Amino acid sequence: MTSEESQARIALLERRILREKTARASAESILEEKSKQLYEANYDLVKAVSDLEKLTVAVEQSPIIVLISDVRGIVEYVNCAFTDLSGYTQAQVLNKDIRSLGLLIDKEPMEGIRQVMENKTIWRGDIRGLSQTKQAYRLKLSISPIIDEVGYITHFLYNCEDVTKQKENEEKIFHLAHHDSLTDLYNRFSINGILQQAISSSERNKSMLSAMFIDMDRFKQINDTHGHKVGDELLQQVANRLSGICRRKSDFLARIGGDEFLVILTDIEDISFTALTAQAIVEILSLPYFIDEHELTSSPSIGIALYPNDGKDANELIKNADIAMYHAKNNGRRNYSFFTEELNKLVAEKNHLEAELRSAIDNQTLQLYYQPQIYLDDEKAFGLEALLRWNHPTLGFISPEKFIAIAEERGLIYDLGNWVIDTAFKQLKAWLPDTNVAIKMAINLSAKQIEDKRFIDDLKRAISQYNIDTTMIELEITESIAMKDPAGSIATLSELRDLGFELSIDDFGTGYSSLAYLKHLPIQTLKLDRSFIDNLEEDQDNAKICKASISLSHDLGLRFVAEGVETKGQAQYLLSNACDVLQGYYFCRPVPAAEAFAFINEYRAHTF
Amino acid sequence: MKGIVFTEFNDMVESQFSADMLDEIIVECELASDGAYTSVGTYDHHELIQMVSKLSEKTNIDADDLVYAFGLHLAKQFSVLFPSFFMSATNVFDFMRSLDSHIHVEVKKLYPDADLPKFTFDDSDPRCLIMEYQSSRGFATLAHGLMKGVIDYYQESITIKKHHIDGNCHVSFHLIQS
Repeated sequence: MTSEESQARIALLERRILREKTARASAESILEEKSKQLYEANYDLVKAVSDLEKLTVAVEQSPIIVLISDVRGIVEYVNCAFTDLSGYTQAQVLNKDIRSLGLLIDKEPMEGIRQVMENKTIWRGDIRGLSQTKQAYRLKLSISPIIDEVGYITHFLYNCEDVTKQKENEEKIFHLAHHDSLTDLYNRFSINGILQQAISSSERNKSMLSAMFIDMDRFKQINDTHGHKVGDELLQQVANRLSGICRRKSDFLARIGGDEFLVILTDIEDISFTALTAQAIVEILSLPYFIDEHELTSSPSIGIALYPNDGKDANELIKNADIAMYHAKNNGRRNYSFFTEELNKLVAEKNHLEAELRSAIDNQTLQLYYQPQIYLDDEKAFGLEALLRWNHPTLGFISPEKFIAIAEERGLIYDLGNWVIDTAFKQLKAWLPDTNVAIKMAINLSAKQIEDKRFIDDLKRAISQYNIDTTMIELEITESIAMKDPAGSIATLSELRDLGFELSIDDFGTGYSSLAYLKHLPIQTLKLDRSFIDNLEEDQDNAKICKASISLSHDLGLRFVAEGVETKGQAQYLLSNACDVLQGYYFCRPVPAAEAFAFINEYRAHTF
Repeated sequence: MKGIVFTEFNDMVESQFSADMLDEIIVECELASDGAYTSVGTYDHHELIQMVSKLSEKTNIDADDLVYAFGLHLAKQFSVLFPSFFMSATNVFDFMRSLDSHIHVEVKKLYPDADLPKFTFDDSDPRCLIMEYQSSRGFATLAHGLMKGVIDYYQESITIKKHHIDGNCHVSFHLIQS
């Protein structure tokens, strides 16, 4: 080898060594970098393992049930929450089909699993389960897919929350919200919905349904006499009897008010089934109730409305059944009545009159007329009976019997009564400075008025507002009101008497008075019903009744008023039999205030 | 391009030609890396093209033939260095099919920056596997050599037919069993 060749070889080797050194340095640098990366990766890995361990413990001890299965449903992991709830051990669960562990994975969750597989989304739902000891439980379940890096589902993750208690509570709350707590029948809120659904279903099936509105007669009296406990017991027995009668799956029962029940009979082919059922209810609910050693009697009045004839929606059907019930009640109770077109018309008319009456009360277009009462022993003393009149702008004078009945039925009577008292007080107060005639104002009270808790306070307010001498006011209640609840009447009338009012029993002789009670009523006046006066000249019996009533009144120390006196003969007969006060067309019709005032001031002497 | 390709190329040049030849092409190519390759590094693939061209020029051997031969060499070396990839498949078709789904996935894990060619497969005919090579580097000939090397490894009787779709960047290989 020449020197040049040697040098070339050396140069080549030097270049090669240099390349090797450079490559080595580069490799070392890369390796160092890789080593650093490896260290960091290891650090992260150790931390991840530690985090994973914590997570594993958290999952293991979580109150939420965690189950992992493969795609066939074979369980690969389960935490304590599940073994605690189900009673199965880990060994009994692992590698077993998830459907063999008491979990009811039926149609709905299976469909959920199908959706999870298809859409790779989470499915949520509720399932039931049975523990190894046959304890039922409820789970809120979510199934989510575990997907590998290439997008295949490898496992399912089941997260379940034990909602047994929650569901039980929800069901309890739902039950409470939809049922009457006393009778466990449906309540008003839910029966409305049920009826509406039943109507929709009847509409589809072209079938009929009936709504029966049941009201228990005399329930209030039983409640007042025997107390709420007995009243409640009676309602429970009514509910039980109803449940015994209406046993079909398509019958629905509800208590919708104090003593009001609603029965919905769906899927009926003709009305005879409804009529038979109603008759059975009338008979069975009228049988005696034995409660706390009491034998109580009550009976139902039932109103029936049929779909589709009597109403298109739940409210209309219930309303019309209610109307029919009132009809049944007015027809003597203890019976049933179907809603009819006539009833409908009657109700429409009542509705119209009610609206007009409300507007008349608001606009003060009602009037008080006054009918003079002639005191036979004093020509300078008169009574004036305040009588409500309604002169409607288009319908003319509407009979008080008609509009007062509506006012009572539609809850207007209390306000109307207060208006009468206020107006009469005000009128009396206005008259006093202009006359030296003693005027006793007679005012009629209704049953609803004296039953109202506000009555006495409102009366006191009126006394104070008009500074009224209560001894110059005679409050009249009818005999039938007084005798409906004699003990209650005695208490209320005593309160009124304590305020100084004079008290009068109106329409005497028509209300089956108990003379024993009459004796105890704190009244000053007895007002014989006009029917006895009407024909006393022709009918000897009526004449004798008048005479006997006058005698009875005087024996009891009461003033006797004869109303409806229309002839001179009647007036003379009553005068000759020591009647105290006469009232009737023979003297004066009920007239507006000014005319009445003129009458008593211009009256000079008894001339009959 | 991964350094192993360069170190293997250099090894091949040195063993098949001479250390002098290797030194000459490195010096004359005036490579950015100065030819100081390490298998764990990453280098510009143009350097390989430069070296192949220079070798071709010096040896009067067609560059494509050189690259093809390098493919054969590389396949043989890979079977020694990474036997598990070869052992996990029992035949050429299986091995080829595992390229994209398995081998390249593993390579990516080791070298996240590796820019690998893309292969798509049509194996509807059990006797003919169609592989489409796509790479902006245009090393279809290298791929050809590698495929042949794999066929040699499994000692199967398979012929390869090439169809150029877009030069050497997009080529369809038909591997036909005979």
